[in-house]
Amino acid sequence: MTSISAPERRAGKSTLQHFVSNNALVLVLYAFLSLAMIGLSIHSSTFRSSLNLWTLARQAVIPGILGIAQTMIILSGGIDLSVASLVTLISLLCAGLMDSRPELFVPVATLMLVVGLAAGAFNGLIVTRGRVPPFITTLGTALLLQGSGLAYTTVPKGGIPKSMGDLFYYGQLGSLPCPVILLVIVFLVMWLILSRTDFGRNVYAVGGSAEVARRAGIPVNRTRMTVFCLGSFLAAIAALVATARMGIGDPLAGMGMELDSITAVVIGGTSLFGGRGSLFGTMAGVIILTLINNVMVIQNVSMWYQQLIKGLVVLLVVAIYKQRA
Amino acid sequence: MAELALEMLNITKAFREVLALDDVSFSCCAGEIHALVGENGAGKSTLMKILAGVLNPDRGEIRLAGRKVRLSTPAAAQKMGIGIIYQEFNLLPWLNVAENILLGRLPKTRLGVVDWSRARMQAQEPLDRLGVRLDLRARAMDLSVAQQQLVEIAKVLSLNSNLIIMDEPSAVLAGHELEQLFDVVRTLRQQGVTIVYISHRLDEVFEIADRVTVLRDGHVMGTCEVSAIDKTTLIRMMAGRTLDETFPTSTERIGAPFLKVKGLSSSKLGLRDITFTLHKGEILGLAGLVGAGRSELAMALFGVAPVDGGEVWLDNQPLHPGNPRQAMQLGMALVPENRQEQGLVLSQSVRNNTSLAIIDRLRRFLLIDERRECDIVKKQVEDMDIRTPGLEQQVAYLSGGNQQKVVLAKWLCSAPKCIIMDEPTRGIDVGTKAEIYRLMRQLADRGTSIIMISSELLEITGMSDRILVMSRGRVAGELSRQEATEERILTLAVGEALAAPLEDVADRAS
Repeated sequence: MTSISAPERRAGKSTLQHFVSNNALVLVLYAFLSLAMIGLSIHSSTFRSSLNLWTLARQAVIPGILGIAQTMIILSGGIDLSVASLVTLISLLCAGLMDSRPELFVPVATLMLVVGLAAGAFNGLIVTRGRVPPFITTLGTALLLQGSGLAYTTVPKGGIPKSMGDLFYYGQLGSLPCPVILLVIVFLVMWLILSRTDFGRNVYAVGGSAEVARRAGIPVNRTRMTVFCLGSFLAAIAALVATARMGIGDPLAGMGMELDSITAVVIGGTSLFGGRGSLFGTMAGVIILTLINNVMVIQNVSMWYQQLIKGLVVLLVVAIYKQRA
Repeated sequence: MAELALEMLNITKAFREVLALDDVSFSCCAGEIHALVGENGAGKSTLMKILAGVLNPDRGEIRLAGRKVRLSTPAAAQKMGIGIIYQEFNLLPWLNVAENILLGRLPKTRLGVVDWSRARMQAQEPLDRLGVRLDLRARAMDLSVAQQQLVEIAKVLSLNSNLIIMDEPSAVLAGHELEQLFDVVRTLRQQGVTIVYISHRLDEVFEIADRVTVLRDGHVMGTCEVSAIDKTTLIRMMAGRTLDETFPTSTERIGAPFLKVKGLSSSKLGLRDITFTLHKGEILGLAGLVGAGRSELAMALFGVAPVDGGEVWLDNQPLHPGNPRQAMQLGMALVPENRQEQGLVLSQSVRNNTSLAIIDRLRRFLLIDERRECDIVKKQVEDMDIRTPGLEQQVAYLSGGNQQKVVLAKWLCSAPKCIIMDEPTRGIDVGTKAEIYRLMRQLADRGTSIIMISSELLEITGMSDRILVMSRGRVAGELSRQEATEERILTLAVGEALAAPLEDVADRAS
């Protein structure tokens, strides 16, 4: 018996109370995050400088978009290990094909988004038609994409026009950095899709129980397919941002990003089994991970310690979740 | 009479409000074959799970050979020499016979590696005792079901069990394999092993058992020598009722035919040549023993399981097999037997679960019209009196009865014209049961056609306008409300099982 009969009253709790009780852990996460930010601002003048805060926001864009994509995929009961390789491949192709020519910016960038969609469709087809579990499918795709990228070039290659660098990373609209605006748009759109469209509800239902979803007449395979396509499309956007940041095609552009995105999702309290979680949690996870990086860089702590701290944070947060559940 | 090997005294066990066993006493003599019979839900499995240490009784005591024992875990029961063979076997498919028999107890050499020659000897011994031959090196997955059962029995024997419980051992066997099982059981009796043999096939009881105990609704109806009783008496003991419940009566007349099923078959589901008609506003009770194919029929009709042949017409339109979306569009709904696995997304809220089947109809432009959604859900919650702290409550935390109401609410939102309800009141409290009965009758009176699958005979006779009895994947008979008695239903359900011709059994096994 898994059901616990809580005291059942008819009316009572307001929507707000429900929001609080259903998202208690995420709210705790944000409270912790605010405290950490305030503490760091008091402690370090470098940290609290507005320049650094905007840098922090910029740094959160790529993991943010990938985290959002990964959240949707994990909510649907899947996982995508191929995002990092996709970022690398697109970075190489994009800079290689553009070769700093401004007139190629729009067509090549569009092509790159199509490449993203195609990679997602490929994953989706293998998962739905081939019935291969997402973990294995995307592991295979990751190798395929990585291999294709390295077949194209093993050394940094090409370049991008200044217009692309400005639009996707270095530019500002007023005092707002362009990539931050992009992240906010992606977040809002994806939040609307996941919480307010029937597709979004289907994602949660399929991830919660594919059998129940199927019996409720939900097109399970079409939902899975769409999830992978949309996820890889978002990864392609993140790849354009990464390319704009680097300025060239970098064979190491995406390294580690798939695990970072999954880490953010896990810290955000989304169940790896699917059906449960939210984008708000993931954003908290993304900010925490970015914050760790940022502070470590300011404090001149070496790379290895960053990883060590990240590892401790993940284990601690998930252990706390498990105690509460 | 021989000495008592087992006494279970005044055993009481409740699951939440439901009393599964009420002051049950049961005893076996050493070296006898004791049959335990009763209809579905009578408490046989609960009693045996208590004996196997899987469940702990709320009250009562257990004595083995006169000595009081506590069987708080399966390991404790095993140590006391109690072995149980479940209907679903617990073999590891990729391991061989010897490894399965000695699972977790493989003998080791002094170096700490497995001593295979000793292992083969130890595994061979129980097989010799049973007088059967099996290749010790064959993988469990390559064995027939009957052979797998023998491995299970050997495994239990190698644990030095002198009391063996067999839960419906014949359910998985074909005719000729049954003889072998009987031989094995008789051999064990000769060796002084006590056997509790659970079955609902009564002719087996007469063939193999020394004594029989009948359970009904968690009470012992009696224990007798098999030689001193006949089948009719036994059926009457199983079926007779004293309980008294009120069912809502119909006020409306039954309408025209609505669902027509002709010659529906599915080899995968074991369904054969099913033909029947369901009328508008009718409640058709689908009775039968567990495994008779009732849930499978429901799945085939709703299109969530494969079908080989036959036609289904709903409201004069053909239903395509394997397409639940089309079945839904034509107004069909299936309230599944297992609500936690097939009916609810447990991680989601009452609101999301209730609107799940109609969510694509709630879209306005691109987004869901949440206000309309909440109105619809709220109305269902109020109509059905679902006790929940709010619409955002996660359904995992509701009680069984309220969970079942949410599943019903989900389907009622889609305004179905034909609802299949598979065990609609299983595991829910009496009060909610009565509410669900009232609701079903209301729906039928408004013209909805209902197929109700139930293992509770009282529910079947009380609610149905007409009753279809299934047995072994076939329709064994049809009874009108007037002619239906629990005895007649049981006779059809059990009788067909007895009378199944041998070649049928053989072709099912091949």
